Amino acid sequence: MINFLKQSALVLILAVVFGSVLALIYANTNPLYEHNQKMAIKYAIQTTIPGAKDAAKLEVSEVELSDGGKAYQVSDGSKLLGWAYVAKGKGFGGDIRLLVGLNAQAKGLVGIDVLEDVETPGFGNSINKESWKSKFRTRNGVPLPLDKPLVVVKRTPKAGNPYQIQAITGATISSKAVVKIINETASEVARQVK
Amino acid sequence: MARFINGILPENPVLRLVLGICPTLAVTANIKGAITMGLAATFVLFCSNMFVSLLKRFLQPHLRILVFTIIIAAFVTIVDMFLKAYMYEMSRQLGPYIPLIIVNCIIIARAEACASKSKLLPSLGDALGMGLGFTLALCILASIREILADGTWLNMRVMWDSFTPWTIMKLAPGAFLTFGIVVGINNFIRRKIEERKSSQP
Amino acid sequence: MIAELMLILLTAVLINNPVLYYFLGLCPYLGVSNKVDMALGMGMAVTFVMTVAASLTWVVNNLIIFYLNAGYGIDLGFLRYTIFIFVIAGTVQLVEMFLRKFFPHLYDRFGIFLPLITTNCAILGCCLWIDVKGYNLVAGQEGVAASWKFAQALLFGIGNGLGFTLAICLMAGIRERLNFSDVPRDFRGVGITLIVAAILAMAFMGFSGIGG
Repeated sequence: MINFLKQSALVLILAVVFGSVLALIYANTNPLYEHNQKMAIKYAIQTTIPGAKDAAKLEVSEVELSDGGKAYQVSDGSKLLGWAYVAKGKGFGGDIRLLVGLNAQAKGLVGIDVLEDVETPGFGNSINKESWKSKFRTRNGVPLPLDKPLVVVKRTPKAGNPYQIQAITGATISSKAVVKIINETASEVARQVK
Repeated sequence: MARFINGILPENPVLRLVLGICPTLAVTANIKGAITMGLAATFVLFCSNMFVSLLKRFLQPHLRILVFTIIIAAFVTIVDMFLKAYMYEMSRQLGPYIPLIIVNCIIIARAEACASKSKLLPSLGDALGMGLGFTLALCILASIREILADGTWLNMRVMWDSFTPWTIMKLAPGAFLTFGIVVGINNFIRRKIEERKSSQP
Repeated sequence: MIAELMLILLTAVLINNPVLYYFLGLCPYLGVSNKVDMALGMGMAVTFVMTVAASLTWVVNNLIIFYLNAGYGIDLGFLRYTIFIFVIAGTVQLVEMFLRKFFPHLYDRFGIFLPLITTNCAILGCCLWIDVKGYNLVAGQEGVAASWKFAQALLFGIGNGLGFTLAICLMAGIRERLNFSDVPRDFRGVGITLIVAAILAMAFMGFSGIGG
């Protein structure tokens, strides 16, 4: 009986000591972690929305969407630069998470960034490459329109047709997946934040 | 000291005892991840061996594993929190493999086999040796995979320009294949050394 | 909705197989894959424990930790891993007692594997990946029904268990044949098993894209 009490006391003391040490460290590191997460989003926004130059100076506020998700309202402190939101969908190897940027009037697509993917290295994960992401940027200052869905084509798209996106060679499924995620979400988010 | 060296080569936890191989395969796609993982596991191993060795007088058979688990889980959580706060990118890359250190067999095996029976200093030496042996094995695998998959070593270009990257080495099959071959080669070297020893007494 | 749940199951078994894609549960995978019937017993035990553990940790994580945080501002996030490992250890104990009492036949078949399962990283891994996959409740998304998320997590647990069973049984079948072949001396045992696993993993890569 005494032995049993001794044992339980040992376990209890250990649990209390470790628990309080953990709580102390958690209280000190968690704000840093949350700061890191926010900065990661800001850096992604910086590459997505034109005009967002310095991630540290961006002001990002969250807007609720009807499906429970969030959209980010991005400004540089004085003027509205655009909108961004995180969208998720199925790719070739698993889920793809994108950050999609819309212009200030929420009428056009201005850029995307790939936050997470498990596509095949060397093929599908070329969706991380600048050459692919640049296809969703403004063309000569004009954002991509949202009124009709984008289509993936295998050949060089016709000049002046903003709806056609050329697939990555050897990664048609991943290319289509990215475009599908954008088509499914962009116009809906744009309608809600407008 | 003898225990320290013991862990690095003669009883290397990964190559010889084949313990703790889940992270060995998962994080060795590049060297930075492998080193971080190795040091994180070394830290946990060091601290858990220290505490187990100090507490060994109070430990009783049926509660032993419970106490080990509390200690290990606490230190793994500490490592996880530090990585999230100070090495955010790395913690994103390693993801759930950091908390999986809790069930890494090396740590609980060393607590059981060594720390709960030895004095403080030998168990600390043992922890450092095993931890560094683990890190070393991870680095060997990661070097092979990173050089063949990207043509780089710690992000420095080492292969010639026209080298075609072996994409498969970055994926799951490459991990299994590299590890299988390294284990085989390690056995081969060990056998040769032993044969030489026994032929010249 | 049913289609989406089936997709989660299929993905966990074939595409993101816990062993051949996430490298989880390799110790029993290398250790208990000598004979097909042993492998099957281990696989069944893992599937069973994994299903129970995945749903229990989901409940603890979402109905206790999340609720305390959202409702009372008490953040117990730092105890998450400790709680997980104890829930798993407790589950294994419960399953063992339950089987011994009510299903002695099953207990005779795979009771010996149960104590090994506590430190099987596939179980803890499955519980941790539920968060990565987004089957946990997220602050600000109260619109999504908890029961739907729970169903996803449950199916993910079952799928992971079945995936493990499939991988270990395939490997055991191959290793039974391998006994008759002439493997170089230094590669016998672990070495050749890992190389076979590499070929299996390559075969499983062919399944990726099913979900797309």
